[in-house]
Amino acid sequence: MNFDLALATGVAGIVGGAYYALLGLAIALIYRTTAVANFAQGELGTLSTFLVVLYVTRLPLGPTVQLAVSVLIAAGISAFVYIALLRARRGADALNLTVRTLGLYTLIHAVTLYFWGANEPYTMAGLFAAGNIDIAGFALAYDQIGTLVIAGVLGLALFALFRFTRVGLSMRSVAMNPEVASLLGINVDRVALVVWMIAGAIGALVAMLIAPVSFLGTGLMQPYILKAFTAAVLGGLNSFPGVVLGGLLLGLVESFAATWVSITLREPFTFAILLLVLLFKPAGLFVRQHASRV
Amino acid sequence: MIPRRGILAVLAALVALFVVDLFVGGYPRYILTLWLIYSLSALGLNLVMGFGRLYSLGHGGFMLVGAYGTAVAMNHWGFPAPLAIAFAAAFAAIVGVFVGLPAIRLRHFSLAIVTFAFGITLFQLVKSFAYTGGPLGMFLNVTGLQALWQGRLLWYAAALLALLGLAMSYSVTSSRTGRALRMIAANETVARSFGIHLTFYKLTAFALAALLGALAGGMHALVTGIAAPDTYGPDLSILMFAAVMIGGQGRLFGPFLGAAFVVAIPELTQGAGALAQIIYAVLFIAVVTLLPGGLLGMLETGWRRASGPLVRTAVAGREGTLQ
Repeated sequence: MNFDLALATGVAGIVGGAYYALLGLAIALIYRTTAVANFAQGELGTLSTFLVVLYVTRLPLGPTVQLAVSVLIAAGISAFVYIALLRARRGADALNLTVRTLGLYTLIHAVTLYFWGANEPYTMAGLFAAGNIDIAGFALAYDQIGTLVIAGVLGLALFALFRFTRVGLSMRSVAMNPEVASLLGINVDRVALVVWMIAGAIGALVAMLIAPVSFLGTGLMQPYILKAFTAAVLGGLNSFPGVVLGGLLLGLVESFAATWVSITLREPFTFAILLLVLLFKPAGLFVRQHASRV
Repeated sequence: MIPRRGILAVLAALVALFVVDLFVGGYPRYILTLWLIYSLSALGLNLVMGFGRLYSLGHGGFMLVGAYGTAVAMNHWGFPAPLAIAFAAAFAAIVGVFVGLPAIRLRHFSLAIVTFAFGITLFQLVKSFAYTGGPLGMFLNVTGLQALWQGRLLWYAAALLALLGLAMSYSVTSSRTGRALRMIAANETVARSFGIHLTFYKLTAFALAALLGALAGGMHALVTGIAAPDTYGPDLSILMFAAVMIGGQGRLFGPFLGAAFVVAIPELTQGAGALAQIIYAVLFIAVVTLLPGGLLGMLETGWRRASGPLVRTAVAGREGTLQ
């Protein structure tokens, strides 16, 4: 295997890993604050992307405003889901709430299939121009660079949010212990709502980054959502940087497995690694294990 | 010890079977057979998820092992159908032990993802090997078998297996294993301090779940005449998960109701065409959101309200052991 191929594989892996990391971050955010594994995360992104491609891009607005509108729509849908589906009847346990998101996954998939399934796949104009940049003889596509830049900016913005803002701090405290947080005067419900909105926006952004590269179909996010879950578990759900590292690691492993082993056995290979990691480090790669108390 | 209620239930089931058998034929019988097969599979998942609270999102994988095990044993090795299913089920039980291994250390979310990944991995594997028929799957030469006894053989077999699954489910949950699983569900650390061997009981639960799932998968392959990868993909795992939750997790008869829901709703809404899936999804969400105890939970509540306080304590005493 020559150096160029290895480099190209590595870059592809990091770009793929950036998708997993961002989605995994959205999933970990929701899981940590509301104890719900949001299986509908990917489909929510698909739905938003369909709305964006078919309606928002036809509005007479500039591209930046369009992007802002799209993100707002995604956040709005996510907020609606939280209020209508998950906040209703709070007595339910985490498993029940998780199954509701499975139901939502089924519903959104059925709805997108009903309205747009007949004419899929759609094409979506890329957010970035086509073309490559040459860096020391190595070609990098604009959309690869764009994806990495957006992922990086988003990651830093989230980091700043958690670190320096009141909302972010209250999110972290709810993530650590919802009961204690509410005793400290934090409105857990409102924090959860904000978290769902942020996660929805991230999911939609990722979907809009993926759609131009692949085709926009009803199954757009399905290959990504499980990888995002895997990334989240791999990195350790308790640490947000861990999730990002888990995503990047997963992307790299997958990319190299596709090049070296075989493209069809890429996924079994990836999951074998997940199993191995969890067998030795059940709490995730980047988390120290705590003993539990009765 | 078999309680009087259990004997009554089995008798009622046999009478129902007999009555249904007299009047129902052809397609409706096919649907009823499917219902029993899905019930059998859900009974297995209910052991792990309902009683042990170990989230398994890979139950479709066990059904895949059952279906493909049966198909490989019949097509490649020339086994007769009953032997092939028995082989597939035994093999699946071993696979179940291995899938259960992560459950020793993982819980909740992580376990759900690992089991889900197991199901998908199997799905990808059978799809990529020519030995298992690749993406097309394997056709089974079972037209003769399907036509036996005017097409009733498989229906009887499914009914028998579902009853056996129910009996096994009952005997597991009312025995030491069931008590151990419920204790593990409540609190692992406490269970351990009471001397419950966590590893043994978790692996037993997964092995039994795999066994029932594979029996169901094998029957499904015989009834449909094909073991195709897409039938046993990740969607099936989600479907079985939904069936257990909708029926009422941790309740003995819950799987039958849940399976009825996931089989009947798509059948009944076929006339609605493309809207059918949306209707199914909306009903699914409505049931899990409005009835956290599932359909059976709703029936139990209704039953308790309808009957007097005396009966209520009696029922609560019984059911309390199941929850």
